[in-house]
Amino acid sequence: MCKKRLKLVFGPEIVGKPVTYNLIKKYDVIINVFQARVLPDEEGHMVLDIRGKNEESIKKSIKYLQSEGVMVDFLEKSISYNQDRCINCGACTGVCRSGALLMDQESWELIVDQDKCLLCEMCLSACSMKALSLELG
Amino acid sequence: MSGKKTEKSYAEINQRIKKGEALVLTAEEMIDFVDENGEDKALAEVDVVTTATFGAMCSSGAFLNFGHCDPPIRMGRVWLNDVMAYAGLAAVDVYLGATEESEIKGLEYGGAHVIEELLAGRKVHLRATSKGTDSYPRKELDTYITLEDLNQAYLFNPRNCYQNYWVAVNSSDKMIYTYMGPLMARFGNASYSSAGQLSPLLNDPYYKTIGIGSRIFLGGAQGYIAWEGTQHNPVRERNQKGIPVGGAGTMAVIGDLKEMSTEYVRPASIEKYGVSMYVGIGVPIPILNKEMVRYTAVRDRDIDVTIVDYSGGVRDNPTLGQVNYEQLRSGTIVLENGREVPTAPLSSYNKARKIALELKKWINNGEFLLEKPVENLSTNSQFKILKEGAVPNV
Ligand code: SF4
Ligand code: SF4
Repeated sequence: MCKKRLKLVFGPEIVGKPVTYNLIKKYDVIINVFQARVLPDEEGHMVLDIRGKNEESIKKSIKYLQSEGVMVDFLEKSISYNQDRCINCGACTGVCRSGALLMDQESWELIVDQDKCLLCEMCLSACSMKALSLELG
Repeated sequence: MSGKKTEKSYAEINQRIKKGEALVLTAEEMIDFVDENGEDKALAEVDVVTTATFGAMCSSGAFLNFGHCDPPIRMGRVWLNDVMAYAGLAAVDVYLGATEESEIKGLEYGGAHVIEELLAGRKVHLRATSKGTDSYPRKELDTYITLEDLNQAYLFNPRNCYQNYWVAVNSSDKMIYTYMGPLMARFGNASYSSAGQLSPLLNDPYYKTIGIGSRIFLGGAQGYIAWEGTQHNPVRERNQKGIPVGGAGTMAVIGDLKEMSTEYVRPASIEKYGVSMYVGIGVPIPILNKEMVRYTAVRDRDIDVTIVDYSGGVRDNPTLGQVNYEQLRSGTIVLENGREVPTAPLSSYNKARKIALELKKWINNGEFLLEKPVENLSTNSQFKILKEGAVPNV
């Protein structure tokens, strides 16, 4: 599995095209939309995660988007975990739906599994210690 | 010693601590000990059970005395790193509340953060203004201080260590931000905040050994229980084991900030709510008799707690049944309406365990003796609500 977060900007002329539909249909990727502002006759914006079998499938889908005239920006972000600030309370685990944040039931320490993270950012507001942050790269 | 004794005294226990002969167990270890050896043997052999909690305790703060500058000032308004401290005391005394927010940074930084900077040995910006008087002519002060520079600096927390608390959920269709953390719409998550079986007041539910003058672990140092905590509510409904099923008893605690550590005192910024302070508290419970054996053998499944819907923003939030701590700790609970809800703690069980072990070490080393309370926490004080609109009697 491979994942990239993208920011898409559509000119008004392509807002009407079924771009995301084609993307899923033809390139067999999963998309998870975080923000979207797509109105007729206006420039459209969308932030989404695109997940595919491998780098290649994602590259191809990005090529397709560009061929349709969509401007693609990479948002290279990930959740960063500062262990020194963490008090192992577990508050963040209650809002993490992906299984990326779990409590070890023996030691009651937080286990962070970056690979499962969907970058939904819910944990950022749940951690009162600022031990979790969104980092570039 | 005789296995038949049914009562032990503080003096006997302290004697054994001094000789290095006391058997000290954490509240978790006590559960296993009683399971394996029975109550009689536990009474005969165990002297002290250490309990602990590390949670957000908003009702906290520090008294600070700065010493006098020359020419002297009678501080009228005081800011520490732009956080206002209450100066309506003598000339250079203030009370710095943990939840007071910075006038510049808001809830990113507050009194608790200033306390942490002091504990970490960092310089803190002190500003003060005054009207100026004959004996205190100075009107302004702008300087930097460290914890070491202060005469006295002690935490005095009016309400800490809640005996149990609620489980918070949100039935509404939008996310809400509370002191129990963010609560997702339509019962998306549930937060709970007590250390359960390790929690001090749940191991002595009727305060038989806990009261004014009890020596405790506070923020990494030895401290004391100073008074019953504000909103102390011992008459809360209790389950068959005598455990209150919601927020009940509380304690006011005091201790020397200069001896504490950032390991056990931590500032918190709760999203869209405000600043709070995580405080580590450990309370040793002397095993004086069989009753104390039973109380300290309490385990998560014996501790019931009421689920409360926080979506209304009203004082008396609607309740949604009860669960116990074993269920909460499993990571999911099922509500009365059949909804499965993921649960998460706000207080750190991991840290509570560390504190219980640390306190055990102190006692084992003979550095910490038990103090019999001068007066126990009240078991019958009434909890009042604020009635508005009453006409004063003239
Ligand atoms: S960003 Fe979302 S998925 Fe990732 S760790 Fe935080 S809560 Fe979990
Ligand atoms: S909420 Fe923050 S401090 Fe608590 S376990 Fe998660 S990362 Fe650690």
